[in-house]
Amino acid sequence: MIRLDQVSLSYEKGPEVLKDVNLHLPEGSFHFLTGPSGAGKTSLLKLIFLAHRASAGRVHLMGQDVAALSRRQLAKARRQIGVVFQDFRLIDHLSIYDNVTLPLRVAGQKEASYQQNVIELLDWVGLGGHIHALPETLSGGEKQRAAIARAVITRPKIIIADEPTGNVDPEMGIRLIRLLDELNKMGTTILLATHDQTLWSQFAHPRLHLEDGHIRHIANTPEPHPEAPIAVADEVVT
Amino acid sequence: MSQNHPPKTAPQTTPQTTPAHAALLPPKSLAGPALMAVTMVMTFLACLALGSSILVDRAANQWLARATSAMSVQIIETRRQTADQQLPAVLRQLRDAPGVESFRVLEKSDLIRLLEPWLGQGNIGEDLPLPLLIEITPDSRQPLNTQALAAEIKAVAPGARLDTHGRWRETLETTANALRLFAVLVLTMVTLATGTVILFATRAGLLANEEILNVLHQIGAMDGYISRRFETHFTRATLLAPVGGLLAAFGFFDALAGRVPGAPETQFLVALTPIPVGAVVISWLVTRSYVMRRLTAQF
Repeated sequence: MIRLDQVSLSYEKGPEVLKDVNLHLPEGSFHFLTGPSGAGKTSLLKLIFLAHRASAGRVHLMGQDVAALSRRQLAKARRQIGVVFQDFRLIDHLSIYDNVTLPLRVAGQKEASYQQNVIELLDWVGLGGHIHALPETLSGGEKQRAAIARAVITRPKIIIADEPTGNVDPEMGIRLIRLLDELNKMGTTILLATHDQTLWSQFAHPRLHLEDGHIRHIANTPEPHPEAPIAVADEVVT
Repeated sequence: MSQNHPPKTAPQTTPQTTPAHAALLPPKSLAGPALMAVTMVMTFLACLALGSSILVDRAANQWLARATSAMSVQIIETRRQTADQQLPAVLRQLRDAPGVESFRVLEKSDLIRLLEPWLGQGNIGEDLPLPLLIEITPDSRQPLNTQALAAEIKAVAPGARLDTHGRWRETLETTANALRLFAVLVLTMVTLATGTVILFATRAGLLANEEILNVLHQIGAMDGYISRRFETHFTRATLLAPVGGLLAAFGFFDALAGRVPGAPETQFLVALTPIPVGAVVISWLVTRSYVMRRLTAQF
């Protein structure tokens, strides 16, 4: 589903943030991405959710080499990748309903075809009573649930979450991960960056540790989830 | 938060709401009120500069047209012939000359009236020798060769002299051209300033909404889709200010009716419309180039 071969990344003429990274995340996997601040977690995620171009190496998503895609194809590929940010990135003047339906609007879908599904999805994430609310009236946890709803509304194949629990309390953080867990059980590939050990230690999903530009794969618990596919990374530590 | 599985199918119940989609870009505060006011004032000034340059050009053309038509032949007596003796030959030359539409020999009373402002009323007696004066109206459709005509007149009437008022006309022409140049310079400077203000106003509005651009890009919107939303929004948002400036300029020139000829004419007012149109076009171009540049800079 996600494959990086000898990928490096540097911003303009700056130093390399990522160097010769190899990574293979199978379809339907759920991985935590950990590492110290400045290790390049966000940069790695940006490569995967197509916000940045790799300086070197190959990035394959859903079986396609992203370097070979046209701008139109890249836009369509982004619709298959749901992204959840730490700072939510909801549009302030739009209601929760409008924020969540945004990916469907830009894809040209008619409102009648999705209206009921959106309302059901908002119910599912616990925001059924906030359809008309503006983001500024919601708590951090509610905003993040709205952001997750927006990320999953197109039923993407991949969900990338960059510190999604960074602005919510620990209990809400756990509940958000469970929400993503439910999506993973439906077959969505999930990669979640976090520096919060109390968070990833409560789940059986394997961990990718990024440090000094390299990735190590670490089994998260003594007994990883038996159905969880195992990733291939630069190094495997158990 | 529900712990059920995510919805797979459409629910069977009627939705509790039928929300109407809001515009992707916020309706207010894209270009702040202060920037809109500055844009309106600058458009108004640009309209004034353009209108003034048109009026100056028209006035200069009128002055020069009058100066060109103010041509005369003056006949004074010589040792051999009186002015009256020379008159028939001069009139023949004028009749035959191409480029002369009409001419009129001024009556003595006309000459006295012309001289009275300098010599005083009643001071011009019968004994004061006055030249004969012929007023010439050149044919506007046919050029008049003044040098040839002057030579021909001189040949048949030594006391006659063609006066084209050349020196006065040259001075007038120089003044008119200086005024035209000044008006064009003012117009250019004000137009450049207006364009710059609109450019910065639009860029400020775009910067304030860059997050929306990034979100739309991230969720898979095509470049054209994003660009069109921004172009439409900013063109609409900046439309009001230039139109306001144009209407204020209309009001200003309308107030000049009667003082400045031609100012409130429809044709004149229509000539001002390129300014607000240009303002809107600048805003549209800045928006389009900014959005496309930002998008193509991303992956």
